[in-house]
This record gives sequence, C-alpha cells and structure tokens, in this order.
Amino acid sequence: MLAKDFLAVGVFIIVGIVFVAVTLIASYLFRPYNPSGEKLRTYECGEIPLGPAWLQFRVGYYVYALIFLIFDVEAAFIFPWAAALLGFSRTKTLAVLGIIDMVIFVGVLALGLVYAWKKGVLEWK
Amino acid sequence: MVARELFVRCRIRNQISYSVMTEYAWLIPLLPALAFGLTLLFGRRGPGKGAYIAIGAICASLVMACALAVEWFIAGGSQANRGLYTVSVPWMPVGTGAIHTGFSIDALSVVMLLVVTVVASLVQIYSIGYMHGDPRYPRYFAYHSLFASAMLALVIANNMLLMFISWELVGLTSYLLIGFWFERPSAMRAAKKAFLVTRVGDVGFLAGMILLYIKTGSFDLFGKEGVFENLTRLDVIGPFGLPLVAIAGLLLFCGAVGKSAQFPLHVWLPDAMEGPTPVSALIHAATMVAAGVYLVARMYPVYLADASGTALQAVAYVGAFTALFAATIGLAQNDIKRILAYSTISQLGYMMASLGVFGYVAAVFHLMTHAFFKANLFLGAGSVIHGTGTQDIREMGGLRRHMPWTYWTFLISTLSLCGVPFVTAGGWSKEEILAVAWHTNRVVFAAGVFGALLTTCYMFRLVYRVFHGQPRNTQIHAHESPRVMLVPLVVLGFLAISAGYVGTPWANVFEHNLLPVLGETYLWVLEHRLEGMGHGFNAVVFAMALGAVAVGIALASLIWLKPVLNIQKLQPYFGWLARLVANKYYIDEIYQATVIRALMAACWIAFKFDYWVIDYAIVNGVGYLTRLASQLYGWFDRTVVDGLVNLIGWTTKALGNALRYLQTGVAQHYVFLTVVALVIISLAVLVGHYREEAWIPIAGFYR
Amino acid sequence: MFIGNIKLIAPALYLCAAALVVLILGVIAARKPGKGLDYQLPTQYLAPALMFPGVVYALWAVLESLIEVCYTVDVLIGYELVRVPAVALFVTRGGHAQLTADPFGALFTLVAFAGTFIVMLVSLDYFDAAQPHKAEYYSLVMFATAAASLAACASDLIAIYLSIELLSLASYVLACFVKTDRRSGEAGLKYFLYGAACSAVGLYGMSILFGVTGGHTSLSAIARGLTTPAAYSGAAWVGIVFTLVGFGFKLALVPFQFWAPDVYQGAPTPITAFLSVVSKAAGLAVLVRFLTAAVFLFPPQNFSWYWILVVLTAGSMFFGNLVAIPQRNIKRMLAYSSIAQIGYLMIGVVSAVHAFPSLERLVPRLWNLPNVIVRTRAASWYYEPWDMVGLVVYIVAYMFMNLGAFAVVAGIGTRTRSDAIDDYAGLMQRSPFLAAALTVFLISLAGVPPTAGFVGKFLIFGGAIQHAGQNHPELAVLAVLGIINSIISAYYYLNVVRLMFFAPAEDRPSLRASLALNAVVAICLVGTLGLIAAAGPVVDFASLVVSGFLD
Repeated sequence: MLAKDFLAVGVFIIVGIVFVAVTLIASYLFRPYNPSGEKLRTYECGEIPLGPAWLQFRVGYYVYALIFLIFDVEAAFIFPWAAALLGFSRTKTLAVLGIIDMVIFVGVLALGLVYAWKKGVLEWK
Repeated sequence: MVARELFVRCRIRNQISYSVMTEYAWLIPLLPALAFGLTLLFGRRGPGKGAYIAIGAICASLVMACALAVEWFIAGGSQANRGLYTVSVPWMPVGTGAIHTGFSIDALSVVMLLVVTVVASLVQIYSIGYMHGDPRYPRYFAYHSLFASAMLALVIANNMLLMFISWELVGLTSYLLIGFWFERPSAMRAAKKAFLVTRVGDVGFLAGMILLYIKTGSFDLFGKEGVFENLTRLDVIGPFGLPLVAIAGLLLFCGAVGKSAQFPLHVWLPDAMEGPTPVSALIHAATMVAAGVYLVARMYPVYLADASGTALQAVAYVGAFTALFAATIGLAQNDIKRILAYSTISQLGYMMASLGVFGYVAAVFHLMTHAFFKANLFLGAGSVIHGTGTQDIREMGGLRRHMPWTYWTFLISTLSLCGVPFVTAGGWSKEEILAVAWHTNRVVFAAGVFGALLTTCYMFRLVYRVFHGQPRNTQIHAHESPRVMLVPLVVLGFLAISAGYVGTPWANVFEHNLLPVLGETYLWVLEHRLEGMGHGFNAVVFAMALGAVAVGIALASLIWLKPVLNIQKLQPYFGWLARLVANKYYIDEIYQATVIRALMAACWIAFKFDYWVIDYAIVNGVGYLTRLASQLYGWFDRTVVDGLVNLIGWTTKALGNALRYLQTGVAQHYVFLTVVALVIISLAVLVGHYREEAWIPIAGFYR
Repeated sequence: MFIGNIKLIAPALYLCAAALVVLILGVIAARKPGKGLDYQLPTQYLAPALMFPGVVYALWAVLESLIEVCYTVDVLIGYELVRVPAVALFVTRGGHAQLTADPFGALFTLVAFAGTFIVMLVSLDYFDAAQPHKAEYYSLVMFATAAASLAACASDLIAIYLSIELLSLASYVLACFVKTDRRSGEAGLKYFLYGAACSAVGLYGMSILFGVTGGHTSLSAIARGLTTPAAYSGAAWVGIVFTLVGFGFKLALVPFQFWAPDVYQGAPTPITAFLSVVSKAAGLAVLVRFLTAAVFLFPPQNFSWYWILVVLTAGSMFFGNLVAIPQRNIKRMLAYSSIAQIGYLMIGVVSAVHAFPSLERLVPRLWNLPNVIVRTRAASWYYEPWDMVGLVVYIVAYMFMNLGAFAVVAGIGTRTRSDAIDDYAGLMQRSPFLAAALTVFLISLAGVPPTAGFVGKFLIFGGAIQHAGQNHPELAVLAVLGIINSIISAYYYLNVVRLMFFAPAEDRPSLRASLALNAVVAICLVGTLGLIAAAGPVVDFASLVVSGFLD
C-alpha cells in the first residue's frame, strides 16, 4: 500500500515546491527593481509592523479576508462533492440527498453573505 | 407514534361500547371538584362571579349522570356488567398488600348520582337568585361544588375508606355552609353543634369499618376479597352475646344515626337551619342527611348477614320512633324552616324504619322521592322567606295571592310529603314502606300510619298559616320571587309527582332494577325474609294510608283553616303536653345538663390534673433538672465542642482562602497549571497502566 | 449511509433554522431601531417565541425517542445488512451511528432547550430593548443550544468535536458580548484562549484514539478497537486523557476549571446562566456517553483511569466549595458553586461507569459481531441504574435551581448595578418575592429537603452507596465526601440568605421586577419545589429514560 499512496504525496510535494520556486524565480527575473521604504517593510496585512502592540487595529481588512476565505473554502468543498456525486448517481436517493445537502450548505453560506452585506462589511470605508 | 399507541389502547378498552359512560363515571364527582378549585381561586373574576363555573360543572355532571342512567338501565349496561361495574387501583401500600380505592357503578349508585346531581344543580341555579348580592357569593358556590363532589364520590365509592373520607367531607361542607353567615353567633353555634354531634356517630362508623377490616382484611366492598364476600368471618359471637356482624351493623348504624339525624342524635338538624335556605334544601333535606340511609342501604348485606336480626330491629325501632317523635315536635313549631327540618327527621325515620323491616327498595325509593319534594318544600320556604323577610309563620298569611307559583308548587310537594296515594310520588313510596311493614312488623306499621296522620296535620297547618287566611303582619309586603328561583321550584314540583311512577306496585321498574344490587346471596336472604308478602297492590294498606291523610287534612282544616275546633280550650288539660312538645321534649336541655356538663366536669378535672401534676410537678421538675444538666453541658459545649467546630470552620475558611490564590486572573497561569495537571494525570494513568496491566483480562477474553 | 429517523434530532434542526431567521430578520430590523420591523417584531420577543415551540418539540422528541428506542431496524449499508437501533442516525458502514437520539440524549436536549428558553426570558429582563446586536445575541444563543443538543446525541468523535466546538465558539462570543464592559471582554478573551488550548488538546487526544483503534471515529468502533491488541499501548490511555481534557473544560471540572470564575463573573449574567447549565449539560452528556460507550472499563476499578476520575470528582467538590466561601461577588461565588455542583454530578458519572458490567453485553462487542451493535439497557441491566437516574434527575433539578438563582442575580444586578454579596443585605424588605425565591434556589443548591436539589443529591448519593455495596468502597467515600461538601456549601449559600433576611436594608427603594423576570423566577420556583412533589413520577420517568440509554 505504501508505495502507491506515498507516490501521490511525493508528487504533490514536488509539484508544490516547483510551483513556488518557478513563481519566485520568474518574478525575480521579470520585475523591475525599484526599492522604497514602504516596499521593503515586512508585510503585515496593511498594518505598520513596528511600534507599540497596544493599539487599535483596523479590523475591516480581516473581516473582509475572512469572508473571502469562507467562499474559498466553499469552493474547495464543492469540488470533491461534485466528484462524489458522480459516484452517488447509482442510487437515486443518495444523489438527491447529496444535492439537497449542498443546497442547504450553500444556502446557509448565502445567508451569511446577506448578513455580512447588511452589516456593511463589503463596503470599504 | 404516541397517538397511535393511545388510539390502539382506547380501541381495546372500548370493545363493550355501552360501558363508555360507566367507565368514565369517575368524572362525575371530579368535575365539581375542579369547579371547587377554580371557583375558590378565581371565583370573583370568573363568569357570574364563579356561580357559572360551579353550575356548569354540576350541570355537566348531571348530563353525565343522565347518560349513565340511560346506558345502565335502558341501553343494557347493567346486563353487560352483570349489575356491577367496579374498578380498583392500589392506593396506599399497607404491610404486604395495599389498600385499594376505586369506584363502582350499580343501580343504587346510579339512582343516587341522579338524585344528587338533579337536586344539586337545581339548588345551585336557585341560589343565583337567593344569594344575589351576598358578599361571599363565590365562596358559597365553591362550597357547593365541594359538597357535590364529596357527595357524588360517596355514592360511587367502592371501598369503605373512600366512603368515610367523602362522608367526612360532606360533613365538613355542611359545617361550612351552616356557618356560612358566621357573623351570626347562632349560625356559628349551629355549625359547631352539627359537626360535633354527627362526629359522635362517625366514631361508630369508624369503629364498624375497622371491625369489618380486621375481620375481612379489606376495605373494598365488592370482589372476591371484598367485605361482602367474606362476611361469614364475622359470624362469631362477640360482646353482649351478639354476633360480630350485628355489632358491625350497629356501629355503622351509629354513623347513619348521626348523619341522618335520628333520635337521639337528631338535635343538630333543626339548628342547622341557620344556614342559607338553599343549603338546607340540598344538604339538610335532600342529599347529605340521606347519606345515613344510603350508608345502611349500601352496607345492607352486613345487616342481612346478621341471622339474629338485632341490628335491623334496632334500625327499625329507632327509625319508627324518630318518625313519630319528630312529627309531634313539628306540630308545635312556628319557624317555617324548623317545621320542615322536623319533617325531614321524621321522613328519614321512615326510611330507616323501612330498611329495618326489610323494605330495602322502599327505603331507597322513598329516599329518592323525598329528595325531590323536600328540596322543593325548602326552596319554596326559601322563596317565602325571600318574599317576606321573615321565617315566623305567625307573621305570615294569605301569601297565596302574592306568590301563586310558590304556593302551587309548595302545595304539590306538601301533598307528596303527606303521601296522598295514586297522585303523588311520596304516596307511592310511603305506601310501599307501609306495605312492607304491614307484612313484617305491625308495630312499625302502626307508627307509620300514625306518623302519616301527624305529618298531614303539621304540613297543612303550615300551608294554612302561610298561604291562606289574611296577612297577620301589615308591615310585610310579600312579592313573588325572581324567575331564576321559580324554575327550579316548578321542575322539582313536577318531579315530586312524576318520580313516583317508576315504582308503582303494578310495574315496579325501580324494584326490578334495584334488587340485584344486593348480589345473589343476599338477594336470596332478603326474599326469604319477605316470603309470603304478596307482590302488587295492597288495598288494605292503601286504604289506611288514604284514611290517615284524609283525617289529617280534615283535622288541620277544621283547626287552622276554618276554626271550628278551638284547641285553646284544651289548654288547661293538655297545656303541659303542648309545652313539652314545643320545647322539643327538652332534649337539648337534658343533653346540656347531663352529657355536656359531665364532659365539662371531666375536662375541668383533666385540666387541673394537667396543670398541677403534669405541668407543675413533672414537666417543671424535669425542666429544672434538664436546665441544670444543660448548664453543665453548655459549658462543655462552649469550650470543647465549639472550640473543635470553630477549628474546623476556621480551617475550612483558611483552606478556601489559600486555594483562591490559585486563581490568579492571568490566562497564561491558567493554561500553565492545566498543562501541569494534564502531565500529572497522564503520568499517573500510564504508571497505573503499565504497573497493573489492567486490561489483560479483556485481552484474554478477546482471544 | 443510513440516515435514520431524522425527526428525532429535528428540534436541533428547527432551532438552527429559527436562529437563521432571527439573525436575518434582526439584522434587517436593526437598521431603524425602535421603528418598523424592529418595533413590530422585536428580536427579543421573536427569539423566545421561536424557542418555545422548540421546547415543546424537544419534549415530543423525548417521548418519541422512548418509543423508538424499543425497536431496531435492519438496513443495507453498502453490501452489508446491519441491525441498528431505530434511534441511530447517520449510520455508516459497520453499523456505527454518528448520532444516537436515545431518550438520554433527547432528555439532555430538552434540558438544554428549556434552559435556553429560560435564559432568553432572563435576557429580556437583563438587556435594554435598545441593546445593539440583539439579533446576533439571540441567534448565537440558539446556535449554541442546537449544538448542545447535537452534542448530547453525538456518538461519533467528529460529531462530538464539531458540536462541542460550535457550542464553544458561540459561547466565546457571547461571553464578551457587552463590548463596553471591560470585564466582559476580558472574560471572552480568557475563555477563548483557555478554550482553544483545551480544545486543541482534546482534538489531539481524539486523533490519538483514531490512530490507535485503527482509524475509527465512532464511539462504538473505538470501544471495539480498544479491546484489540493493537491498542496495547499507553498511547490509547494518553489519548483518552487528552480527549477528556476537552470535555472537562466544558464541565469546569478541576483541574480544568480555571476559566470558570473569571468568565462567570465577567460575562453578562444570562450568558453566565447559559454557560453554567446548558453548556455543562452538553459536556456532561458527552462525557457520560464517551465514558460508557467508548472507554470500555471492565472492571473499572482495575484501571488507573477510574481512580483519576474519583480523585477529580472529590477535588471538584472540595475546591469549588472551599473557594466559594471567601468570595464577595455573587456571580463568582456561584461560579465556584457550580464547580462543586459538577463534582456532585460526577459522582453519578463515576457510578454510572459501573452500571453495565454484564457479560451478556460484552459478548457481541468483543466478538466483533457486525449485526448486533447495541442493545437497550432495559434488556440486560444487572443493577438498577440508580446512579444514572440520579444524574438525570439532578441535571433537571440543577437546571431549575441554578437558572433560578442566576435569574434573580441578573434581575437584581440590573436594578442595583451591583453583584456584590454585601448589596444583598436587607433584600427581603426591598423585594420579598425575589429574596424568597433566591432563598429557595440557594437552599436547593445546598440540597436541603423540600427542594429539587435534595431529590437529585439523594438519588445520586443513594446510587453511589448502592454500588458501594458491591465492593466499591470508593463510591461510599465519594458519597460521604459529597454530604460533607453539602454541609460546607450550606455555609456560603446560607450566608447570602442571612444577609437578605436579617441584615438591615440601608433605606433603599424597593425593587420592581418585570413580568419576564417574575415569570422566569416563578417557573424555576415551580420546578424547584415541584420536583419533590412529583418525585415518584419523575424518578419513574428518569429510569425509563435511563433504561433506554444506548452506549
């Protein structure tokens, strides 16, 4: 069992490393080099990374990111679901239930979106 | 799912469709009980100030009782259940067994249920008018509901214990209602008297009940283990050379004497007239006082099992004597309600006498008819009191013109009470009693006939004084009562005539249905006792009864309507007799001088003994010694024991104070402490695990 | 997968839907507070109104579950015919249910629902009508309750973890709900930090169990896995310890109680009440299910595990009661008191572990029979499971008396702006009803007779002593310690009563209670005092529930 299973993992690791490496190397090759203070600063989600820790953060950015993440994960869920639904198509009930499940899942997330919308999270002020 | 299970269960239970009402008969007393609670709690805000709650409940009970009667007598419920339907459930565990409670339905209970619900509902409706504007109006109806509930429970109880509880509850409501206007000292006294006097009889009831329980091992009346099936166990000679069963019968009869106001415990009933008149009609005429008769009728197998017949003879003679004795007192009273009260005592005497001479059916029949006409008479009297504002018949007169409805219904019921044959309900029942007495006991028969004569005299004296002649007091402007009071009068008046036709000698439906109540064994005994008594119409008895009534009416008319005979002339010769009767044979005074004074003396002696010997010598002495000891002990307690206790308390507090410093308020500390604890626990578990290898038994089992 | 009788967990589903409705309607309404939708359909009324049918529904589910638990169904899963109880839901291959809506779980659901309904009424009195974020508040409470309900029925580690986590997340937010109050924020943050740590440890333990038992998450599969030689390592037991940390944290069992006092004191009082009852009920149900279904101790006293439980039980009682004594803040005092109360309940759990040592029950499990997974306890109980009866009765009693106490504390806190015990002096003159009611609740918490607390303690201690007779002296010791602790606890409970009745009021105005507060207090009073009147039927019902307990 080992060889086959770990082969997939190995391939995945290699592809991951290669993808990151290629991206970094490509950008290193193509980007213009024009440094400034802002650009060289450590990235911290738009906040100034130095200074006292006891200060008010602007949470808007995080909330925005969180909502993005939710729908990102939703998409990640839908792919395996769609794949599994093919297998379910043997038994009709399961397939129907699968669809209902996903409708409920997406519906709840949609309600979440409505909530966020109403709360004004989607407006960048 | 739940509903389905219930539905299936219901289907199984209702296979015999005509037992539906029978099975749910327990609802009949339950509804007024609920109404009692509701009226008491929410009466003032309830519909009709609570009156409609009570009336609604009793009317619902009435409808159910009617349905039950139809099911039982007409739809064949009686045959389907072999004359008796009884349900027992465990109530209180006692020793190895349990006391059961439950209800039973037979012809006797059905008749009683009907009588009680009919009269109670009519009286409650009547009370709307009579009690209008009373400050304690809701409470009045609450008590009424409680009474109805207890009375109905009494008549369907299938065991002596429940009977006794209901019996005491009706006594309690009687007490509450007699003393309803407790601002009047006389009402208060009367209530107290009623309660105490009936209690004397109740002691007998309780003793009889316990005797039966000890010997038969059951409070239940019916069934293989019940009292009636096991009466032979009481067939041994007890005190006074009497069989135990006779003793039991006599003791139970004591209860009946108290409740039904028989001589010598009759003294409470006339005083009980202090209560509101509808109460007198319902409780002290129609239903509760008849409970004594019901008790003897219900326990009739006990009396029939007594081969010596002593108990029944006692019942017969006490009843016959009371019937006569009360009738004579009734002749000389001037209070309209008191006359009726003595008449009630007298009629209850008739019923008792009838039971005593084996007139089982006749007694219950008379109970029923009496309930209707006597309730009507009392309600009529209430109407008169309502219209005139007085109870003294010397101040009334000529009310016939002002109160026609009251007059006619009152007259009908008077005729029924006098026992006018063929026409009235009372006629049929009274003649049935006389017919039985004629066959079994001529002394009782003679008393009955003479009593009928006296009854007619005092009742017509009452009618003439109140309704005929000229008004004696010009201050009084009589008026007819409101319609809500008249409707019950008319209904009861109708019943006072028609109720008798269920028991005519030619087609005695009543007897046919009621006799099987006794069960095969005792039915046989009863029929054996009545052997040779011709069924059907007894012309001699009817003639004599008719004669008594006719003579009575004639005498009364000659004395009080058209004063042809002047009884004042008899004054010099029979004045002492008149005084004796008017003062009720001085019975109250005799009781005062003997029983009560003796009791008081005993109480005084007991008090003095208690005060000087027990309190002063013993209790105080012991108290002094105790104080001495406790002072010594107190010192010990304060220094040694308290010291220890305080030490423990102090340690506890100190520990608490020490431990609270674990709770620093810093989240990092918390997590750190938890991790430490986790490590310790894990190590402990692991050490224990490897040391004991505890789970090896399981592994072994697994292999 | 076999879905099963979904109606049995329908109350939780209904509540989720209701929470969404509350959230969306509330957010729409909140745009114009005091006008329009917020005026016509205020969230604070809408939420209890939606909650109440849920309570009725949960009650129905208990009855339905009592009937359904008597049946089994044969289902085809994959290519295998499996016999499962009719209350099993989401049954996977091998007949392992992810949720088991047995009467025990259904009853804890009912407790959670009823408790939440009461908490909502308390909130109605506690918060202003113009309170911001009403919709979030009520919907979070409802989500948490639904999670508690699912946790009570969960019989699979994933289901347990997810439901407990949903409950926790909602609780973190609720604890710091009053943003303007620093203490509330502190409470929420501490709760979150501590909770996250414990939850991580718990999850780690679950993953160990998953690995050791051969890749199973279902409790019944883990039970079977723990009996195989593959589990012949200390790792399994460490896994169990770690898993229990997750549950112990929910219960505030010593030594995982550190969060409780700060959070109880800082959180808004209705939420404190919620945490002390609903959240604990869920944790307790999970713990009982985990201990009896997955961790298969036979005979228990041979396992060091069991002894740890015994020590923690005694420790909780003593720690809670002793530290409660010097407290000056009533919410903090009640927090320690609830740590002690969990100790009493744990006596029931410890004796519940003994309750099924019947070999008859072991056989199907040990022989790995696929068809016979579960039997009802009624079919094969050896001892009358008094312990569990005590547990069930006590949790109901605890719900009434603890919620009642917190309701009064909340009511008084909003009116006097103080939670200091000293400010309860002379409460009798200021508000006789609340003072009398609080007295009843405290007396009940102390376990003094005519109250529900007495019935519960009596049954729990009685059950322990009953088991002690079967050669388990430690249970008798626990019962005696429980009684000693009841006496200690009377000291600080009665101290409050003494202040209320005998200390003079410093000429303060009388307090006016709102209708909602009075109603809540009355409901809890009826429950606290009524339970003893109905003790017979309640115990009968509880043993019926317990006899349907599936493990």
